[in-house]
Amino acid sequence: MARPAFRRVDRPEEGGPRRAPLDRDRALVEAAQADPARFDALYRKYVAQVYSYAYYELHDRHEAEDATERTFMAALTGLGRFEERALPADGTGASTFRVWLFQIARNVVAERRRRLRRRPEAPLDAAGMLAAPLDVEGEATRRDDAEAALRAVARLPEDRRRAVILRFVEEMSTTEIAGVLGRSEGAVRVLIHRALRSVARDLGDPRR
Amino acid sequence: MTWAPAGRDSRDIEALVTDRYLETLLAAHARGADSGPAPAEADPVLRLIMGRLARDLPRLHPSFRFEEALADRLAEAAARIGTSSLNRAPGSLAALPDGAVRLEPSGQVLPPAGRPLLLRGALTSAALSLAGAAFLAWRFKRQSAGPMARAVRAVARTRLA
Repeated sequence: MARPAFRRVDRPEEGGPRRAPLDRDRALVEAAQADPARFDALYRKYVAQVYSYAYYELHDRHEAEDATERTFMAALTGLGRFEERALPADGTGASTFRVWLFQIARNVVAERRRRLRRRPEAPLDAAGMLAAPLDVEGEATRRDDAEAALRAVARLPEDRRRAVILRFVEEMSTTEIAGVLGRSEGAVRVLIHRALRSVARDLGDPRR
Repeated sequence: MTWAPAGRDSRDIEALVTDRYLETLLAAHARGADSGPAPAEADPVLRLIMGRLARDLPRLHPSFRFEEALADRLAEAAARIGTSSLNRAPGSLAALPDGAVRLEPSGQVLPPAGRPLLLRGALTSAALSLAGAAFLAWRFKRQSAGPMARAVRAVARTRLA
């Protein structure tokens, strides 16, 4: 029988104040819940992350922009129902708002991908993603490397690819990715480990 | 039979070691360093792959024009929603911004409805009322063809005659 999962939470000291739940976006979320006009601060903080995630998943600037817009519109209209769930054990960097936002983004992107499935998928264009080069020769090599890495990531199965993008591009913790993908932390670690093995096989031995 | 749990354990341990190294690597990247101290047990091939992905998967930024245009649309939507709608009572109307997707409490996102959303029970009861009225109108218009109905109609005609 599977054991129920309990999260370890530090007990408050006897007679001491009970520690409030933590969320690094708490103040911004509370302000936006009180006055939707103040949602702008949360939008500015996360727009690049959501857009980036959508671009890696959809391979198209216009589709990524559309997914970004739908994600933030849904977040704005649903913000009243958002509940902070961060715990002291999650550490000071935890943001359940970011996890919630990326759950919306994941669903929006999945819906777009289903709709786009009939169309041929455009490859990710590293040339369009990297900044203009100063060292042209060195930059060309780097661009080739980046394109190979992007292709290897794009070929990964859906769940592994998402986990890799959230870990490397969005720099989310394993705990956050587990929240976004609805998996256990152990499962996320294994997903990423397997994804890295697949990418290593695909790219060949990088020491050569 | 001990092979299965042992296999799972070693897989989990490898994944944990990779995760620990990745944590160090991403923290070093955040500080602007190339990489952090590598744990001796981390696979050297995977270490190189992790370094390469950390370097070659950049975070992308939307265009300034798009970011500002969306900020304006969100501000308009926020003004329409207003403070009161965030604590809306069940059964009331919520006007969603044009083209907005709907967000279920489970986090599921539904495609844009293109019209105001009627919250909870009201829609169901209205649909049932319309269906009931339509059924009664149809039932009154249609004469039953069963033997009992025919007999009743024959008796009625006889009495009237």
